[in-house]
Amino acid sequence: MVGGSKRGHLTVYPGPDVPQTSTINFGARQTVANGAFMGTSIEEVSVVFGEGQQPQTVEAYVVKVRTSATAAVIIDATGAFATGFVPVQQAGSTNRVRPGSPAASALKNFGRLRSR
Amino acid sequence: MTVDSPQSASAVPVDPALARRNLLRGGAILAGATLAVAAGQQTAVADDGETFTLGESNEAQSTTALRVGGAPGGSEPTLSLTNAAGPSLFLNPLAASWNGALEVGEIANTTTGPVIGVDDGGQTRNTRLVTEQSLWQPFVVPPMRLLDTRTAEGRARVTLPSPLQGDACRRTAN
Repeated sequence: MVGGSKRGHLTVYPGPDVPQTSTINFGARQTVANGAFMGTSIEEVSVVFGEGQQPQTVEAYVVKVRTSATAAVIIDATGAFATGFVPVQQAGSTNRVRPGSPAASALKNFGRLRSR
Repeated sequence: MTVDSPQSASAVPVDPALARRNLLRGGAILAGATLAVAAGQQTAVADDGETFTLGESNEAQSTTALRVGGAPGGSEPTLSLTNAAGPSLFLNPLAASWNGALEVGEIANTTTGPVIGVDDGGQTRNTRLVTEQSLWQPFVVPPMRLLDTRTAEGRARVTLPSPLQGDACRRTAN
């Protein structure tokens, strides 16, 4: 949270309903950070993949953000949970996302967010 | 110049008594082979301590249905399958949609992984044995910025923005 207009709270949630708990609380003009495990939902969203291209409707992993006061929001992802096949010879490297794996696909679409 | 040629059996001097013994021994081996062929035509019923034969009908007289090695009640495995260069066990894969009723402890394999019968509060249910195909695993990645509403490029990643669109300072609004 950066530069809240007044003290308030921010909630990150998968939807559809806004939970009654906050992900982070902030004061006026404060810059504060927090970490949380966050679920995602899957929704159809309209995405423009390149400049000048027509928007396409795709299914994407969605998280929603709600703030109680006007503020700038920065969200970083540091990991994910995903199911998927890990070849036996690579079983020792399960803490890394392999290109083309379900986890990599999930993270590719993970950057699509919705604010409320 | 002379060329050595292999001696024929008849060219080797043989003690008549030894030849008779060999003949008798050969007859015994032949009789054994005949017996083995006759036994193979019958249903194999292995007694306790005898070889368990896959593909044949086997029967154990003790309470242990099948024991290959190890003492009764010991910690040795009941059955040990070894293949130095490949899989040791094959479970026939059923269709992924198979949903037959399993008793507690029974395992059936499907094309998407094995299923086992478990006791769920008095009810017998089928549940999947966990494989990497079905297990949620944590993946740690280098930190990835998903959203930064301080910049126009960052706000472009919001696919469904709030109707309030934020304020003049590019902040989100409730």
